[in-house]
Amino acid sequence: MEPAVRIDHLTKVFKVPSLKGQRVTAVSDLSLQVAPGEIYGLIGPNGSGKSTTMKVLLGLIAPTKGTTAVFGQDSRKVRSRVDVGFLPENPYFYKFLTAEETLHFYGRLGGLRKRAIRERSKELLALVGLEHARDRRLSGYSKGMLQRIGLAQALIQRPRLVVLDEPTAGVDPAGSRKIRDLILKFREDGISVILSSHLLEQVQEVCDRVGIIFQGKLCREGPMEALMAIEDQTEILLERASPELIARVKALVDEDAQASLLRAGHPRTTLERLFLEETSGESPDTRGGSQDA
Amino acid sequence: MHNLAVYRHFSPARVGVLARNTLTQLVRMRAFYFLLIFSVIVLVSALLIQNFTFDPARQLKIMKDMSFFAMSMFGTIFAIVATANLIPKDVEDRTLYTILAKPVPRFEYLLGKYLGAMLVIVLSMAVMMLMLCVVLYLRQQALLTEQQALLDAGAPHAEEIAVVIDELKADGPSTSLITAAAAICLQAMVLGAVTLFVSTFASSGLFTVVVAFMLFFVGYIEPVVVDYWRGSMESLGSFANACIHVVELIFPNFQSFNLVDDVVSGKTLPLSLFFKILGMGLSYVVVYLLAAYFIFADKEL
Ligand SMILES: Nc1ncnc2c1ncn2[C@@H]1O[C@H](COP(=O)(O)OP(=O)(O)OP(=O)(O)O)[C@@H](O)[C@H]1O
Ligand SMILES: [Mg+2]
Repeated sequence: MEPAVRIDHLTKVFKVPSLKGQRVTAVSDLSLQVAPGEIYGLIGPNGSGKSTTMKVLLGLIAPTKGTTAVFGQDSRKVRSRVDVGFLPENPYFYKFLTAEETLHFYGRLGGLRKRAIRERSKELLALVGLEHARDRRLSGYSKGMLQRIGLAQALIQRPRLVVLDEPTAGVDPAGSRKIRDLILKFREDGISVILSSHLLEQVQEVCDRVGIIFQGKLCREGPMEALMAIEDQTEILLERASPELIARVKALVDEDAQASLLRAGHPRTTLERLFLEETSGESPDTRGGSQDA
Repeated sequence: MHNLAVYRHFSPARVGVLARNTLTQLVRMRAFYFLLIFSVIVLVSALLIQNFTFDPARQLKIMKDMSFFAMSMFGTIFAIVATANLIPKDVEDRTLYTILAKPVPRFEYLLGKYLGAMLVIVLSMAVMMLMLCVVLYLRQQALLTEQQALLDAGAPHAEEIAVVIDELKADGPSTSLITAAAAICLQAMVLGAVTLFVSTFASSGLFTVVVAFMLFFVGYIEPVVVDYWRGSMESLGSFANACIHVVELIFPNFQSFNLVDDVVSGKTLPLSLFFKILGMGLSYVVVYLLAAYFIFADKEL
């Protein structure tokens, strides 16, 4: 089957507007695939090239080298966008439109008919919890509301792939939970998702596969479980364990010749540890200057 | 699969949606306030002019002159200011990402934005024209009855009054008036296309506005300058001549859209003139839109 996303040796070099004609390599030789129905998480520090990768995938910027395709359609063709919904980072829509008008606008651009849009936007406004604000102009929307109308807008033409750039940025914990639940629902519906996020716990919760990107390179990739599993370690998770019980477990471990107790306490997010491990070093935004002249 | 079948490379419906959206944007930005000012100008001038001048035919001429001046001011300013920020604003706000992430070819986006702005201009002009015609007609009828009454009462200088009546009849609403208004619309459309073109590579809205006004000015004085060059450089030969031709082709000659003087004096404009201006105007619009697309197509967003 055709992969939902195919990125082949993508390199993107930006000319930075400056006197010296510097260049910045935002993405370098990045390859990845997202299978149909898969939820793929792209994580990496600020300036590592997540947004750039997504923009190339949507044909908003041209690749310097390499190709990207959506369901087998080259991203440089407009046709490839028929089956994609995109939520950019910090989305911003026409302030002078209401929520309903916004969905109508994007629905029409997505090729839907008026009647279909009316039904679909009702459904979507309920889904993202904006029914009460459907007649309000977006100029009065909060950041979280904009994020949610952005999500609805991305879904309007029932795309088979959804590209979400930091969908929970600036959204409160409750709202962010709701967005997570929505993404989990995509999986049920067989919609593929590629998302970027700095909330690693959430990525760990929803994603089937994760890629860690650093300085424009994909430095680690794999299924969630495989990435998370540390082969020579075993985690025992206990509920309502008394201090005596833990003392007994410790004693038991001490008796063993090989095993040693590394840590006892509340479990920590391991994706976060992995992230920090993989991306230790300066972030590209603080490094300053160009990578190659 | 289900969606791919629907996609078409060019869809007038999508262009229409984009144009309507732009229209809504400009309307909700209260661009129509200008219309209000215009109506005040026309109505007030119609009421006041009677006190300025005793010459009845001149009253109608002044009314037409003032109204057309206001209309072409509106067309010129609106075409530049409204068009200059259409695309840069979408780029800056990143609204463009969400639009182009839908299956919308960049050309449709440009065309939709442009047509939306032009729709505002054409609609405003139509309203202004209608208003002018109504007021002009009412005033003309009032003046005619006045003169007829003088004639009927056996006033002296009967021939002079007959001349005035003839003149009044020629100065009412006419198709020539509509031709002149259409020419103003076309000028605004050319200017809008030029501005859109500049805005695709300009670094700021101010830059676009300034350059567009400069181009307008160049186009306006072009015939004079070209005549002067032709006169002074006859000896320079074919190369200079070719250069002049190129200049003439690149910069639209905005003077040729100006039919106001003819209309105000009560001349009847031939339909052929209208078609000539229409052809020239549309050619410039097409060329500048294509040039804008040429730059916008590969723009990094
Ligand atoms: N239009 C542009 N012109 C020049 N440089 C750019 C441009 N867009 C991005 N960059 C550079 O490319 C690099 C990658 O940027 P990108 O926005 O893809 O990072 P990101 O991973 O999305 O970061 P964040 O987590 O902060 O959103 C950065 O160093 C950035 O400065
Ligand atoms: Mg980003």
